[in-house]
Amino acid sequence: MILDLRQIWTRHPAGLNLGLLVYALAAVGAALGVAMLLVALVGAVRDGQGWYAFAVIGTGVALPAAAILVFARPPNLTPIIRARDVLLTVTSCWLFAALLSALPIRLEGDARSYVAAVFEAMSGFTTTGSTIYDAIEPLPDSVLLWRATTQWLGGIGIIVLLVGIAPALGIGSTRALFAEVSGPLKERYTPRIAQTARALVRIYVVLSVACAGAYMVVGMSAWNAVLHAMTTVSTGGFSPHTASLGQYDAAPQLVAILFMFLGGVNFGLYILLSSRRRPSLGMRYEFHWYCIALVAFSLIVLATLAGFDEQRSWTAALDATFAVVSIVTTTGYVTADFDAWNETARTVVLAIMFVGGCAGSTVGGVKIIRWMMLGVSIRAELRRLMHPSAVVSVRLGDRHFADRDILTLMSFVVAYMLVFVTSALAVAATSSVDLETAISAAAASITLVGPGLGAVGASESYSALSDGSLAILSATMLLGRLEVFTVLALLTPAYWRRR
Amino acid sequence: MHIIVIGAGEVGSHIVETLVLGGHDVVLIERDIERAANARDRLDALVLDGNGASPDVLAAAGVERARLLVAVTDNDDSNLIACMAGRSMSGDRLRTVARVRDRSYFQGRSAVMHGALGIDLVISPDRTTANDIADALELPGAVTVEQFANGRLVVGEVIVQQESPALDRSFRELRETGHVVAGFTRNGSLSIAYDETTVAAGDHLFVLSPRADAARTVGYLAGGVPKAKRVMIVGATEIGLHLARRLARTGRMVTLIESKRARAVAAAERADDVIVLRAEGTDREVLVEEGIDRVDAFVACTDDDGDNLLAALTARQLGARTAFALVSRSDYLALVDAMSVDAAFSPRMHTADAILRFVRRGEVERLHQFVGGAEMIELRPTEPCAATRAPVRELKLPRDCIISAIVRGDDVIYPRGGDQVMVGDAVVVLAQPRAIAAVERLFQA
Repeated sequence: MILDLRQIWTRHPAGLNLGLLVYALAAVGAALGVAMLLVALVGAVRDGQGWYAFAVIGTGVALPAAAILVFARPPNLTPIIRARDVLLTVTSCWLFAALLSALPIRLEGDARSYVAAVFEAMSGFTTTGSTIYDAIEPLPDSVLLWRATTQWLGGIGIIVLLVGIAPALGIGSTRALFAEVSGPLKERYTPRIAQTARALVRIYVVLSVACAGAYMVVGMSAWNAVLHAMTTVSTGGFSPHTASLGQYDAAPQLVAILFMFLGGVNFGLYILLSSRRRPSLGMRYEFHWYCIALVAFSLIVLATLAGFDEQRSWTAALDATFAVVSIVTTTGYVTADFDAWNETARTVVLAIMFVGGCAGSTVGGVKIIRWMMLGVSIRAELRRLMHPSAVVSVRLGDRHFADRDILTLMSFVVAYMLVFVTSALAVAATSSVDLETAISAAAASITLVGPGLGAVGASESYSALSDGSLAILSATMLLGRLEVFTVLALLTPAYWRRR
Repeated sequence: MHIIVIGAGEVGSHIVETLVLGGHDVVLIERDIERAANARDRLDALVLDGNGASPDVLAAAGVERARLLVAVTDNDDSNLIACMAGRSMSGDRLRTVARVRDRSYFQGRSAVMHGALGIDLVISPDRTTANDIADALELPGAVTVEQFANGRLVVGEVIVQQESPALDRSFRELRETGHVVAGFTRNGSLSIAYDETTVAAGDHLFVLSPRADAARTVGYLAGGVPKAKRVMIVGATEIGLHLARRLARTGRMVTLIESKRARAVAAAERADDVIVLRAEGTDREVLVEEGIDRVDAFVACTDDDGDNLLAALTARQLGARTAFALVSRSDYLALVDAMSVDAAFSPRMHTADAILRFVRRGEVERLHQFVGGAEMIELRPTEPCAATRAPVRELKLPRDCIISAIVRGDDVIYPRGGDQVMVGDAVVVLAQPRAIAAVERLFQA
């Protein structure tokens, strides 16, 4: 029996390609099911507890999903894959991954409610790293591994994995990939989009393995090294310790700084360098400014701490650098409790959440390249003010921007800030927390940093918030990870209108 | 194989699409930024902005790794220069193809020049198309004709009319009376002709027959169409003129209609056994006056797709037995089935066919691509391979493909399950796009 997914194409009144959707969800389900079975196996072998739900749910999902994949025709034969089909498919894949992964977290991780479990899973896939657990150590090994796995899978991107490992989306691949990869300028580096995806995955795996190796060299146990590597390179921030990286001394912290930094670099840069091609000028500028931003913010934080901290030793420098790298790369590991710093330093912490790393990396936030584009367009605007009839070219390195690009950029920044403000208001309305907590929780969620200030601060968790707030923040994280527009489009009535 | 295609027009995009399906890595170079952006959105290929004849752009496209460069921009000179640049950058390993319109680039001594410049294939869309139309007109009843196995096997496209004896009969019955149909198109998409399917009016049948029987077989299925004696051609374009001269040479009565004075005069000078009229192709009075009702074949080949379709419709309405239109835009090709126009010839599709044939040289001898991407290909196993080791029934043929004919010496075999392919045969296969790669694998040693 062959299930022909083309048949369900026109079933939806808005003419959406539901065949593509079913196929993509089946691919995600099969992948997650297999991952759950592996986690169950590891959990059963290591501490023998908390693996049962993983085994049952993994089997229950993997089998039907595999059946759909085997018996359905691949969706590249569907009549048309339009931009709007891709928006729905990409968003649904992410939502489905979080909803599904929340099940074992609820059952084996003893989460207080399903909503809280979804928050934890969404925080995992979006590599945010905010948690609902006040204490991490009591969790069974299977749940610890699962939290790390969600971050590792979400870091490079679910769609990138789908396209890179299995040609699951057919001719919709390019659009789907570009809907997920972060940054304003989407580029491919190879003739086929699947090759680009495979190259991304390859680099990601190499970085992860190198990171785990480095952690082990500096004395971390193999188990902790693997868990941390999965959440460092993905700039996720889940740790198997309540004290996060604060559990360790300087050497593992330096390794973490290095690999968070590497995870925040544009992966296109690695692809180009590994195939001995020269990156564009714009890409090199972005990398320079990324480095400059990290150094500059570290110095600023150190300077604000100088008056406050009596011990002006190099540990203060390490703490400041770690905090800045952790926040700018939106990882969210914690060593020093930055929530206990002085007001100036805390304000800086809140502000630099929005900086973000390079485009095309595993990092959230607004992204360095967008700030650079904003900078050059403001400069062009100023020049127009001084020379009203000047012909001004807005450019970055060798790349010129059309008005359309600038408009897209501006709309993005405005929409991003609107989502942030709305989310903060909604959190304030649904939980009894102070203003600082509400604002920092929304900021840390949309930028995918994780820990915020106040009740959700570095040494706290998100358990103080109500389920309503957790649901809102889950949505905020998804909006942040898919860079707002992909999800926002689905929320407009026009998207669902019959046509 | 790493392939560079220059020019994202109709031909370029079509070639890229087919090559990508065939598993090749393609870099497409396009000068026009909007066109490039459009191609980037639709094709699974790396699309670069820029001038394809520039060495820097070619280097960025990876010309040292490339095995094939196809230059199909609108500009003859760019195409030639791009091929020269590519060849000089990466030597003989790179095969080059250029599309060239200007006659003076491939007449007379030009062939010598192409060798010296390092261009392996120069394609003239006009000439290729004119020859294909003439082939079809020489086989009455067929609207297109393809030849395989060095001309020993002919595949004619026949439209089933109300008076056709094939109507309502199954493909098995037709086969038993010696009329072998490989595939048919209905509602614009191609299907393989399995035994139990019955023929409906309006179907386009693809009929196989040995060269000697072609006229009889095709004529029978088409319902007895007489030989195309009287031909009327509209448009003294390069194609129209070439076609008129070739048909007149074989003793047909050819009338050529052209609305532009200078062109009409030039045509009259170059073809003196053709009657050249100066008129619009849609002018009913002129058509009636010139006996359109007794015309066997009417061919509209002006530069304008719309004019061609309207002229062909007019001719059919006024009584021309068959009418053909030249249609460049592939979007319009699908419309032709819905009209009473018999067939459309697309110079771009013919160009793409010729280029794809060249690309697959070695793998595939001859090839014809149908609208929708299905292909009829000829394969010649020169060494024992999977296909020659077992009878057809036991071959693991993918779905959506069929071995239509085996040509062995001068014999044409329409294989049943028990027949077996032998080394040295020419095997003609009809396959949907997704099955093509698997079929080719069966024939590789």
